[in-house]
Amino acid sequence: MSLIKVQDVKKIYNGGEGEVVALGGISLNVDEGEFVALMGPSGSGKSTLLTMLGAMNPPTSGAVVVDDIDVYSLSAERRADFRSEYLGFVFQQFQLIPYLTALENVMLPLAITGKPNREQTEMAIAVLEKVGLAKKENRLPNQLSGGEQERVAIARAIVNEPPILFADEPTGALDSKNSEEIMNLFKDLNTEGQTIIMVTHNQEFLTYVKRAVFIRDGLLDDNQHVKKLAV
Amino acid sequence: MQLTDIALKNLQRRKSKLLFLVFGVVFGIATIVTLFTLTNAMEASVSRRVQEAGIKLAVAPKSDTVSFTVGGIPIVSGVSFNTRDLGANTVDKIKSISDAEKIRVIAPKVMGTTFINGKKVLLVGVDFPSELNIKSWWSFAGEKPDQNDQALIGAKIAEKFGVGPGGSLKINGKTLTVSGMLQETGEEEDGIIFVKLNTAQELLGKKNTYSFVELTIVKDDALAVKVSKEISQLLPDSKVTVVKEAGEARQELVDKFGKFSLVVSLIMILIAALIITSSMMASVNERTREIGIFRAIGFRKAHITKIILIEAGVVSAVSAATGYLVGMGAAIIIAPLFADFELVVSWNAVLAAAVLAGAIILGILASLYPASKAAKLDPAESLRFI
Repeated sequence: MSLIKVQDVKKIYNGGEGEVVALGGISLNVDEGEFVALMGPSGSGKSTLLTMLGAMNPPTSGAVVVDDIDVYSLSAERRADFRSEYLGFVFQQFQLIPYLTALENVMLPLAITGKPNREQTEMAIAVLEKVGLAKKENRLPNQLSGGEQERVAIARAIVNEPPILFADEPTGALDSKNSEEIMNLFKDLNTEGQTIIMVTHNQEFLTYVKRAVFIRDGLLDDNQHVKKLAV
Repeated sequence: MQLTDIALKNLQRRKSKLLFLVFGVVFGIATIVTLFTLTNAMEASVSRRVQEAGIKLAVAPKSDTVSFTVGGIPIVSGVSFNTRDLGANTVDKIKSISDAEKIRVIAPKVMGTTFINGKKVLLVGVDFPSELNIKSWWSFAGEKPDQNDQALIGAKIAEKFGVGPGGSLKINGKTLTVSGMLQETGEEEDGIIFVKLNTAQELLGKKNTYSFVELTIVKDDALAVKVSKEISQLLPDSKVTVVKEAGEARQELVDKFGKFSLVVSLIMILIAALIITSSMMASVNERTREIGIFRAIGFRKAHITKIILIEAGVVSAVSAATGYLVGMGAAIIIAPLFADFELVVSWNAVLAAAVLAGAIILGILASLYPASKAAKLDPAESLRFI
């Protein structure tokens, strides 16, 4: 059964130069436990699709259904709750909060759960151990390497144990060695059952994902539409 | 990690950027505290003086007055005639009233005009110990007269005749030594020569009479009415009036200062509110991306609003505490400049609490708009900057 159902979503922006079609009608299903790469050139609409799947960008038409919840039928505040409960985000360039330590950055999604500090700390430390940063929890982001910052960003995204993890160009700021380590980390998480949808330019990472979806000019690429890959 | 922790951590990071905000609010609060504290101290000083001075009554001989009008237009008003002096037993009669023990001071006076070198002057005979008791604000160079041939002169007399302490004046053939000179008061005393009662009676030819008697009683309005009535009955040829105290004039001054302080305080509150709003607005604009991340990971609008308002509240509280201390320090330094009031600046816990609560409320109100703007940031839009 599909965890995510994208039903003919369109996104049209009304700019100063008239209408701009960002997504021209995309339908897509993602099953639980999948590791999907959203690929395509710059401006193809893949980031628009990611924010739409991330309950932050209502489509002009069509629907996004996650776990049988029509995401955009929810109010803006209920969508915030939905993001907190269902989704984890790994943003481009890590996007850690610079004045919070690694541990505090990881605890950030827990700050609105009402959990006591001790429980939050235990959860955050467990996740930091999982991503291999057990002894660097008290460092500020600028005291960590790029690879370590990416690990903190991943830890922050999964600390709430969300059913779906989104990653937007997670290795864009890393060298090849660190990129490989991070992709292996994503693969390990997926092996444990984590559903992952990742936006990437890098064709080399196709070996890590179970499926790649190619987008061009706001539409799924007809030639490479939903390409199944051998894992 | 709670929302308060996020707010406090952000404030710690932005310490230097917050300096302008804190300085502005501290300045405003310190000004308000200083003005309020000084006004309070002045009011307390005036009230203390009124209590100490009590109520002053003047017992003066009854006189008939007449006004002239032509065609309904007053030309001359209040011309006194048929004026008599009070008798020699006036003081004894006043001392015989039923509430005599509540009379603090009885200060009889003899007054009249005379000439020095052909120039008209006002000569007043007083009982110096009593007079100095009710004129506590008098300050003079030299000594008060102890001898019958000594005089205390007002500043204008000193200037008019070119004399000072140690000099002499000749009145009706009698030479008076100037033992002291009053510092200029701006009141009628400046143009008066004060001598002992019997000296004035002799020089003015008013033996065994008094022009009027001033007396002070304890501060009690009902008692003042009762004493006035009783003295009027005992001395039917006199009229008793309550004299407007110098303290009341000072009260008017304090009232004006109080109104000035209020206006300045309101302006300061407005300026502080504008500084808070603009600083918090700048902070929100700087943190668009960060707020976008918060929203993306599930923070509700209310969570964002709460973080911004906690920050504003904390900054306001710190500024209020600092502003209170700075304001009190300034009041302590400034108070001696109001030497006439002998101000006593006192620490006021209620004022401190009010300043703290007021500043926090002001900070929160002034930050409502920036907080609402932050909460309304579209997470997808904010993340476009990433």
